[in-house]
Amino acid sequence: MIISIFAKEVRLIFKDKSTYFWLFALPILFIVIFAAIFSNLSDNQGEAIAQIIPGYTVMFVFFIMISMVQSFLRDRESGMLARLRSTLMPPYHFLLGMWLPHVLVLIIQSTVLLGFGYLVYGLQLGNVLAVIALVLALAICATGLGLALSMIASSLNAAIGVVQLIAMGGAILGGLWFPFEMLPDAVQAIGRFTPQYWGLQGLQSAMINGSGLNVATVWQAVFLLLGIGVVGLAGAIALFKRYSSKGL
Amino acid sequence: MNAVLKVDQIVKTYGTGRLAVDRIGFQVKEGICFGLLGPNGAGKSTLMKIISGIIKADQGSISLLGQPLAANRELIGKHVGYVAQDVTLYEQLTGRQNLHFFGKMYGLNGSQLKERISEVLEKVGLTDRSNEPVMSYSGGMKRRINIAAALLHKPKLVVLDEPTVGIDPQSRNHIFEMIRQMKREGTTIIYSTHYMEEAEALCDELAIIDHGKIVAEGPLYEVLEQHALPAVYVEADGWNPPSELAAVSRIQAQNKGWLIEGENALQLLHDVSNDLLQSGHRVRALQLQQPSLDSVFMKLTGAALRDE
Repeated sequence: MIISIFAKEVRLIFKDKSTYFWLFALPILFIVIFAAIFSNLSDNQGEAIAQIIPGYTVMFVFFIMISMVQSFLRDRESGMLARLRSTLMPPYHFLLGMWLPHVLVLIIQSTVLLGFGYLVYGLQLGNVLAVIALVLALAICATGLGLALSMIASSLNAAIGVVQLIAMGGAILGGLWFPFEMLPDAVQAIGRFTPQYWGLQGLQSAMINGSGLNVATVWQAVFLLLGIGVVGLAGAIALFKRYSSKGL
Repeated sequence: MNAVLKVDQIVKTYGTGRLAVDRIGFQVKEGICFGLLGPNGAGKSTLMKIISGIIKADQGSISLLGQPLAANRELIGKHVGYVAQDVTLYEQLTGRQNLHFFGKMYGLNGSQLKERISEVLEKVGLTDRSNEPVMSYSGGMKRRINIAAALLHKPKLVVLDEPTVGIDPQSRNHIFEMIRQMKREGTTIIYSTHYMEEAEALCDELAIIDHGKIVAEGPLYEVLEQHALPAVYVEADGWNPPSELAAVSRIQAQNKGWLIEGENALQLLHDVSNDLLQSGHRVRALQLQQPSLDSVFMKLTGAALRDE
């Protein structure tokens, strides 16, 4: 039944036209605008591209949490979750079937954004396997947090506030907008605790051509991102009963 | 006839301390339509959700097809089809895609699922529109496909929670016919409604619930016999019922006339006719009224508004 719920959710996500705007058009617009601005300011265009494209990819990944909260609230408030409880569907199938499509969405989104950078700006992908591992870890991290938030969010507006804080706050502190080294020491100290920092550091380590793959940084980033994701997933499992009982 | 469902001393209290269901018990025989009637907040939906395994009762027991229902998800998933009060479908998906999804949730696969989708679409009269998104359907069509989703696995017990709210007469009639057909096929139905004429048209037996308790229960004719009297309705210019009318149980003003209830309807009609003839009032209406479920319902549950 997980596959059926997964297929239904993927269909719903991609039937919604606004998905294409939020997932692809808006991030690409950001990349194009900021690439134009920073390429003019920087002597080394390659460095600017290597900051902007992975940076915005990491930043937009975390906005998936809004879409996740929306889906979970929709099914609870419409009575769908209650109705499904009268079928043969085991409750954990619902949780997994709703979570996995968002992982897939983030893999597609990251592929499109990094592919766009590669094709249009000549972004170096470096070690592709390492990039794939990081994209997967990022997807699990963001969706794990999204799943946990979906279990506790009582309204979409409240959740949007939390996601803005996580996505934008993490973007500033994690060095997604400006090179991390340019940030004040105090901000850098806090920034090292954000998943965005590790996402960008990992991607840049895997991608930067010529400097060789910094395996330790990549593995560290992958494990930290996966760790955050797993904590989010565990929290969601623990909170699932609370979430589902509200819709009855 | 065997009892498909036995509900015994069910109690349910919500977190706020509100007692929604208070020691309710009844049995539903195989192949009948059992009506659950009651004002808003009476406990009907809660009871239906307990029977459908959606929420758990605090006390009491339920058995379905002779087996205890508690925590037996397989028994419920295989044999109960629950239709919620609200339409619970994915509006962006087509009717067929929704049915495919629900069929999978009921454990159907492959050709069996395809066949059942075609059969239920035929049953609800939506085969032609099945490949259109549900959002393009009328209210009645949504209600019909909503019911279809609960019939895919050929449940032995179908629980319908106010399935005709806000729909056109044609769709309502179609749903009535579906229910009669299901009964003929041996399916047992629990039907909750606010519309008494629906209960009279469909239900073989019923329970009237108020404040979480059953206030009347049994076959429709028994409930009517037990709680209502035949009556005579009179509408005549300037006429008031005389105090010396014999065998009158109750007189009440209704519309532009009077409703006079009594054990012996013919005697009552005779007495009222005589009085009207003697007094010479102009008569606009004089008719025998059979006991109605509506009057029984109002008598048992009162006229106070229920906005819960």
